[in-house]
Amino acid sequence: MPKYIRRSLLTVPMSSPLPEWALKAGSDVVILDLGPDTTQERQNSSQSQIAPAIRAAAEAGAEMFVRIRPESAWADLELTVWPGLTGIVLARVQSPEEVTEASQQLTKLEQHRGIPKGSLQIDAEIGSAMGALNSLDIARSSPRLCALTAGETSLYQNLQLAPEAALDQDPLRFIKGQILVNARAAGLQAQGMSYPLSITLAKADETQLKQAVHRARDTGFKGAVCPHASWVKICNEGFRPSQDELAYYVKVKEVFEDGLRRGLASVPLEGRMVDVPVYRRAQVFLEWGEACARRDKEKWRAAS
Amino acid sequence: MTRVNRSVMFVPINNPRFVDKAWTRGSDAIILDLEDSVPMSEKEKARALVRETIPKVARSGAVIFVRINKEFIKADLEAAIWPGISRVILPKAQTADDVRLVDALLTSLEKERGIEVGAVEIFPLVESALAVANSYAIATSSPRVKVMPDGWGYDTSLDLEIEMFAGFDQYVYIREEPTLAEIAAGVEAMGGPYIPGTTGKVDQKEEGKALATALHDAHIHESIILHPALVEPLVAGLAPTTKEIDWARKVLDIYERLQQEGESVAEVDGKVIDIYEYRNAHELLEWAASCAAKDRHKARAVAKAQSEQGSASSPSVNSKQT
Amino acid sequence: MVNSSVIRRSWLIVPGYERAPIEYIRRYLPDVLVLDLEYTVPPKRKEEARANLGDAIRGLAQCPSEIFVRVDWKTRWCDIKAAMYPGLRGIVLPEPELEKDVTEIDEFIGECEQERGVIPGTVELALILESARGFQNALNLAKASPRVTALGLGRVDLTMNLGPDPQGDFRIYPYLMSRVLATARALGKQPLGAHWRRGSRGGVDSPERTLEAAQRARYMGFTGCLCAKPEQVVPASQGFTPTTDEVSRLTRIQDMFEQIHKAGQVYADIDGRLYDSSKVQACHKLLLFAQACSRKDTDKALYGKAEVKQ
Repeated sequence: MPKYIRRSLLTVPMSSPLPEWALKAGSDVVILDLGPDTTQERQNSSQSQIAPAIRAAAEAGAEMFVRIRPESAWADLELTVWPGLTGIVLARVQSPEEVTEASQQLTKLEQHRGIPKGSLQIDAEIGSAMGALNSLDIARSSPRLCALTAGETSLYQNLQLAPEAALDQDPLRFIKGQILVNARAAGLQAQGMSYPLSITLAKADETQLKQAVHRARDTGFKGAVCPHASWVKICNEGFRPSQDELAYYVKVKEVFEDGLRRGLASVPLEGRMVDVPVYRRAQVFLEWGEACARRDKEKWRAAS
Repeated sequence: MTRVNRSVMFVPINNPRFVDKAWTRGSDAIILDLEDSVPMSEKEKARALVRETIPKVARSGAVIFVRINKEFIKADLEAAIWPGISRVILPKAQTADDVRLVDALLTSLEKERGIEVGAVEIFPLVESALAVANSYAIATSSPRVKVMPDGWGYDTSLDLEIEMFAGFDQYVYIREEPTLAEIAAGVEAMGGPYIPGTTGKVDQKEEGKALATALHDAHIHESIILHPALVEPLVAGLAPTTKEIDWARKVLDIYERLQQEGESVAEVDGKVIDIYEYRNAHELLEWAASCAAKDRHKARAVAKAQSEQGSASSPSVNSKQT
Repeated sequence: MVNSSVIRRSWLIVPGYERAPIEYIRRYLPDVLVLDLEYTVPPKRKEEARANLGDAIRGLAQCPSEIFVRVDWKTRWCDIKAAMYPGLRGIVLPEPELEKDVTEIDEFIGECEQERGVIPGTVELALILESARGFQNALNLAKASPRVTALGLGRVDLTMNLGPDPQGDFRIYPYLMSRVLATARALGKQPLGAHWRRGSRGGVDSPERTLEAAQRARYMGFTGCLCAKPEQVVPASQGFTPTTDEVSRLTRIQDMFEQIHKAGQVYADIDGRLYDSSKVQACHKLLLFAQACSRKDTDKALYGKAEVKQ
């Protein structure tokens, strides 16, 4: 089962205090977005706002990440790394060196700011062709890494795919597959959405969004960055095994364990053969379902 | 290419009913399984059965493979590598080193037991994200690796923690990256046992036909199957048709004439004949000859076994006249 | 060194022995003319084709199309030498597999440039991948020489004997496209290729299907493709050019975003989709590209007699 239950990662533009809708949204993660402005003035004015914002979101039950921009990485880290932060999202990572440099800076900040050593995590957002080609090395470059995120809008622009194009299949499906496989190969999980919502970020209706989330989940993503609060609930419900699936897996477990007692390693169930791999999967999915239920309970308690 | 394994059928070795019937199925290849179809409590017993099972299933003229356990490589190989075994299926091959370990053990067993050194192939199963990421390294890890599958399967889907069948093609990269790596490494691509969009039910003949057509179109010649019902459609469907053979002979003739005249392209019956058609025609005729030889081999083996046994059951053997 | 943002949507392949290749340019107006020493030239005419290149290239000096020569891998040394004349923009190299092959050719081109009075370093390389090993090694191949300005997919349905898949594509073809795209973009090279599907052969297809193949490729990030037949040139150029509908839509998005941005907002909701400045920038880039295509097509039309349909 995924190491972290992070089904919905709500992007919130930096402000102080954090808006109500962000705190009430019920997302597993809040990603503070410092926005495109990197001027010194903006930096200075934000200094005093970050720490309380982090605390507020953590109290609301969400894990806190800050999105660090490559052009101002050092400054962004100085500004935003405070106790209460779970980790950072490194935007548009191209090389493993960027990760190791950020990791070193995190170590220093942990030391100086009373954060437990090595606790801050890194989510590497792959938003370029070079990043995708390097994604396996990136995924292996630091023990702080928890996930690779497929930065679809950045990838779209970097690869110069025609904006506004309507294709019947996701042109990024192979690259996203590569990011996903390389994340797993390194023991990480991966975040991403399915086409075309992955790039239009539209306010889709519930049915469309549900389908899109299920598709992303069935491809292997464990969560998605939510550009709207309206995505959060559907991501929380979608990036996990469904009730029907869990019911089936309960049957699988029962039937297989019964078969084992009778000395069989392979038993039929509803036209399919249940053998060791299917049984293992049932166990994994059942655990995953339970972990999601626990996370939901946690957040519910924090909110009330 | 002399290797003809159009259907590669699993036989759970600890099930005497399946073992006794295996030779009647007409499969080109049979896998004696020590892995997933054998429960942990039966593994010892299964190992002890391999040596005597080889001749039982080889009666059909099929080649015999063995699928070992990743956790018991040494014990399984020692029990299984006897004359008559031509390929070891290595599950959960994650790295080139996994394959090299098996390679070294095979070499010493071959030397001990009078098998030509290097003859036993290794078929690494790509069953995890890590294996997919390493597919080129695995494909090039040993000259014993001659055929390899892509990464699609139950174990890979488990590694990624996703449903096996979700109504769309979830596995594009997982199938196609290893396929490219394999072709680049000069290794043949293995097909099956599923094609995208299938339901996972294991005993449908229609699905067998669809699988055979998809593989035939894709120029894939080998396929693992889970159920004997798929043997016949694959053995028939993966061999060239008479029409294809006739056309290939025509292409050869036309192109050789062109070459003599210093030309390189012609159009015949609305079809282009060039170096690419010529190469394909060559390969197809070689493959056709190999399939025919295999069919004759199987027919002779079965006839012999039947006369020795006076068996009442008539096996289904595809004897294509070419 | 080389401006790789030039517009090269259609690369027309013409046999190297053609005495008046200028007629192809006048009639079809390809962005690039590729004088061929490979597939379209049978063995008995190879010598003739090589000998013809000098005059052919000189005769094309003032035309608006760029001139490349496609060499035959097996005879690449003497083919490259035969092509080296002032006016040659670059070499199309099919089937490269190893970096050292590309480095050797880079050096050899340098020697030939010197011998023939071509400005050193100006002859480009367009690598056309046509084998699994080439694709596997694509990154290293494209990095192996600064002359490489384009990386493309060749007639892989034929060279790699790819059969069709149940969806009507050639097996792994969309994956190969994706690989070429990612590799080319990672290194700033132009990705060449079209989305040829079952029913086409080696990149040869009807004008209608060529338009579709080029358009789908453009959506996927490609910028141009090889045209095996002259009738494919106009549809290829068209397919790789933004349509008037797209241009008006993008202009509208740009205008609306400007207004919203002036009002102080960072995100705009246009027709139910979210736009930020980076997305709008991408739209802007495409509009500039559309304008550049327009200018190029006008220039070519003035030169040729054929009408360019918009």
